This record gives sequence, structure tokens and C-alpha cells, in this order.
Amino acid sequence: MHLILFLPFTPPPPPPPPPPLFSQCLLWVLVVLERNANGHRQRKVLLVEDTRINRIILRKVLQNLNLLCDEAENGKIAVDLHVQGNSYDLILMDKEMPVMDGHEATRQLRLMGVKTPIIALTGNALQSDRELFFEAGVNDFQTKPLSRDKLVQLLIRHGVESSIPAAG
Amino acid sequence: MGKNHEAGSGKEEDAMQLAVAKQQYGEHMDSLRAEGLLDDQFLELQQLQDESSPDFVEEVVLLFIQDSGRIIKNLADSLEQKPVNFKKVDAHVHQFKGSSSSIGAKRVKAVCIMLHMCCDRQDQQGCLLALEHVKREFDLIKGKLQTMLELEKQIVALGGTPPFMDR
Repeated sequence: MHLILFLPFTPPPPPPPPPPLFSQCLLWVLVVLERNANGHRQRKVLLVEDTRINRIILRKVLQNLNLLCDEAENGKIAVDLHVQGNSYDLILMDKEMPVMDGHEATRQLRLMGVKTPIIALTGNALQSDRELFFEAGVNDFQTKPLSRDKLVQLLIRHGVESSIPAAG
Repeated sequence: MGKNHEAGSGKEEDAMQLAVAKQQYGEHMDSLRAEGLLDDQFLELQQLQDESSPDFVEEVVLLFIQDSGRIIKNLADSLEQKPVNFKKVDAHVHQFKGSSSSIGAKRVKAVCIMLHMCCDRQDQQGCLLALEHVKREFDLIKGKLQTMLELEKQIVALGGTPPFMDR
């Protein structure tokens, strides 16, 4: 006589259907990996900032807000990341950087057709700085240092709020 | 009863030492704020420390000290060049101003702004004088931050957590 056990079984959520073309397979794998436990795509931010300490601090703020983060030390690296096919939900763009500054990087990204919200970050609150950045194509402007609360407001304003964990 | 009494006294003494260490820490941090050496941005930094990054503040502070020493040397070297490349000097000042602002080193940031203004005017003597102010302010905050880290280590060694983690 054999004993058969019936155990409760909750099927896992179905994976997204695989793409028809082989060339899209890698992108599909990345999308699946980026999904968190709830099946929602984790939001990704590009941090463009030359000062290492500033990157470390902002990276931690973004991690604590459950956001993925890529980093670029200058505007050229930011542009190259897009040329390589990367896309982001938000870009934090410093102004003064070596090789390519924030104004030029913003201009080039807009010329490439990048529609991602770009938030200009600068240590100066000069009106001329704001105007130059908005002419280049940024969506918003903030003075540094960027606090957690200010960043949360920016995320909400630009539609990245789904990644924010509950306060406390 | 004798051994229990001694163990109890030992624990009481530890608790007293911990309380004293925490008080010293609190007074030290109060003085840093009262003297204008640190602003609220440092509180933001402390709030980022958590279980996943238990040494975050120490890591950032030590990196700031290390990077700043290098930047000050670069500034001194750049200002000795003939002729002075003020654009290069200003790039170093910009880095230092940015990092000091990010950790809340308020007075260092203020003297960096003075140095930046001298670069704008291409005033070499002014830059050299401002650099002396920068060095003085940096040495001051460096010593105070190192004392802060020592006090935190003492608190942890006595079985406590740094006061800013009590939330």
C-alpha cells in the first residue's frame, strides 16, 4: 500500500512570455532579473557626478529608497551609457564635471531623443545656471546637497514614486 | 552572594561608563554644531547608516579626510606653478567645496567659496592666503571628526550603539 501526500501548492507567478526574436532574449532576461519579489520592475536612476564622496552618499540614499543606480563620473560616460542602449527612469545630472559638463551632456541626450526626466544638480543657486540648464533640456533643478526628502519629492513629481518604501 | 554582588557592580560600572561616553559624545557633537563646523547635512549622513551599512558614517568621514588631504596638496602644487592655471585650481576647489558640502563641513565649504572667488579674480596671492584658511579649517574639522569616531568606538566597545542610531 502506498501513501500519497497532497501538499498545499501555490504556483509561482508566471514569467513574462519569451520574446519571439533571439536578439531580444538578453533584454528579456534583464527585465526578469530586474523584477523584485512583487513582480514590479525596479526603478533605475543614472547618477552623473564627478565627486566620489557625493556619488557614495547619493548612491546610499537611492539604495535606501529601493532604487537601482548606475553611475557616471562625467557627462560623456552618461551619454555613452545611453548609446550602449541603457535606459533609466530618472537622471541626476551634476553641472561642473571634467570631459563633458552637465549642460552639454543634457543637450546631447535630448538630441539623441532621450526623454527621461533629467534633474540638474548644482552647488550654485544662480538664476543664470538655472536658465542654462533649462535651455539644455532638464526637467527640474536642485541645489546640492540633495537631501532624502528633496529626492523623494523629485521622484514623486517625475513619476518614480512606486519604488519608495513606507516611511519609518 | 559575593560573586553575584561583584558581577552586579561590574555591570553597573559598565553602564555608568557607557552613560559617560554617550554624554561626552553628545557634548562633542553639540560643540561641532555650535561652532558652525558641521551643519544639518551631517545629520542626513548619519541617518543613512543602517544595518546594511553599519560603518557608513566612518567610511564617508575617512574618505573625506583622505580625499581632502590630496586635494589640498594638489591646490598647493597648482598655485606654485608659473603661470598659475586658475582653471585647474578652480576645478580642485570645486571638488573640495562639493565634498565638504555633502558631509556638512560648513566652515570648510565657506573658505572654499572664498578661494573660488580669488580664482575667479585670478588673484594668486589671494588664493594662497585663502588656501591657508582652507588648511586651518580642514585641520580643525579633521581633528574633531577623528575624535567623534573615537568616541563612537568607545561607546560600541562598552556595548552601546552610537546615539544617532538610537531611533
